[in-house]
Amino acid sequence: VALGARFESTLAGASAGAEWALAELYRDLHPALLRYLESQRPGEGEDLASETWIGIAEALHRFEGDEAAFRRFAFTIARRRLLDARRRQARRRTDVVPSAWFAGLGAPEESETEALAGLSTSAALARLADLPSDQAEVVLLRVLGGLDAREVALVTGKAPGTVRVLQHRALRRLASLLVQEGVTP
Amino acid sequence: VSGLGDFPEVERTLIDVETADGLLSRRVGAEDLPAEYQAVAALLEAVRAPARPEELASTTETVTAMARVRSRTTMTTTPRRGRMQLTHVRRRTAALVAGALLAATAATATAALPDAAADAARTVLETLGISPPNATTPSGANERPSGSQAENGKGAEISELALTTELEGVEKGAAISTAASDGKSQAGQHGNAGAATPNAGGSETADAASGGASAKGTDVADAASGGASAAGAANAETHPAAAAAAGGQSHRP
Repeated sequence: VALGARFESTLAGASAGAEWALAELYRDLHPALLRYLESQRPGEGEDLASETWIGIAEALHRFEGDEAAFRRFAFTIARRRLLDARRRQARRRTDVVPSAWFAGLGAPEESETEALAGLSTSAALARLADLPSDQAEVVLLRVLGGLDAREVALVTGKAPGTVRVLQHRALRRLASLLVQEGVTP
Repeated sequence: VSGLGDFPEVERTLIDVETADGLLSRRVGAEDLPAEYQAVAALLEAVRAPARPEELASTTETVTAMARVRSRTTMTTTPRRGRMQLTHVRRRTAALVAGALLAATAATATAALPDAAADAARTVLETLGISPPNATTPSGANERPSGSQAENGKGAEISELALTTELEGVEKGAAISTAASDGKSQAGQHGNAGAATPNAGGSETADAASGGASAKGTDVADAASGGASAAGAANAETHPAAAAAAGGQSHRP
């Protein structure tokens, strides 16, 4: 909870179109939304995040709830934009490859020498992207969205038990990958 | 990676579902985890790291676009609470109108129902606080005019009957007498009683039974018809068969 007691007045201001309030919501949530979207759709995160914020602005007058509910609301909209992008891609039948992927081709040894103490957010997100997509999504929503298993279940349309199983498997797999690579904290 | 079986050191130290949940929600710290999961905890913290400046580079333009959307949305939509209140008022009004129509229909139907059904319907309507009309009296009979207005009304009715009926003789007199006495007079229904004063008795009885309305009706009928109304009575008195038929017919109320 980042805004805390200020959330209610900020939300009211944002709903009325006050730029200071919209900016406060944006600064609080945008990094998490961007990381979630970029991790799920590399190279499209910024565009999808912009679409998400426009969607939030359009639906703001319908929202009622506290800050935790607002985070869930925002990530639900972000996830819809993500699904829209996947559908568009399915129609296009081409894959977008982010430039970062090509940049990484020339230095395979970096991941082996990388110490977690200096692990960047981008590298951490890249590790999560190695997980199966449903496991990665659950972990991202838990960690970036600050949602609990029940809320993730609501956002993704899965059963809470399924979410718990997916997150458990995801952490086990991550541990295995990091041990294999010799990455230590 | 083919599976966890490739990493026996991780297999040995599997964390349970609750610990995994605690790690994701920061309820379980890195120090409480097996060594193999320390790196996982560090990775998750890196994912949560504070915002970098480049991540907020487009704040101004996005916020401006959002403010534009908000002002457009605010102008074109009623606030949710206002819409809900409006919908509520509309629903209540529709319910009241529907209820009033239903009550009116039910009350009308009750008046026309058979006795048993009417009683049941009346009970229901009275429970709902609705007064149905009295089924035993015809519509409009609940508010009877009083005094001379009532008598004039009845007289006009008798006059109309006298002028328009196709009956003649005893039947005509009997019909008028019956109407004037509200059915108390049974003139013409019991044959010839052989009374000496056949027609006068019926008239008197009809007059008495109707509280004088019959006589007034006859007067009005006479006046309105220019004497034609009296023809029936005259016929009854002068025609032998009619006189015989009328004799004693109205001796009983």
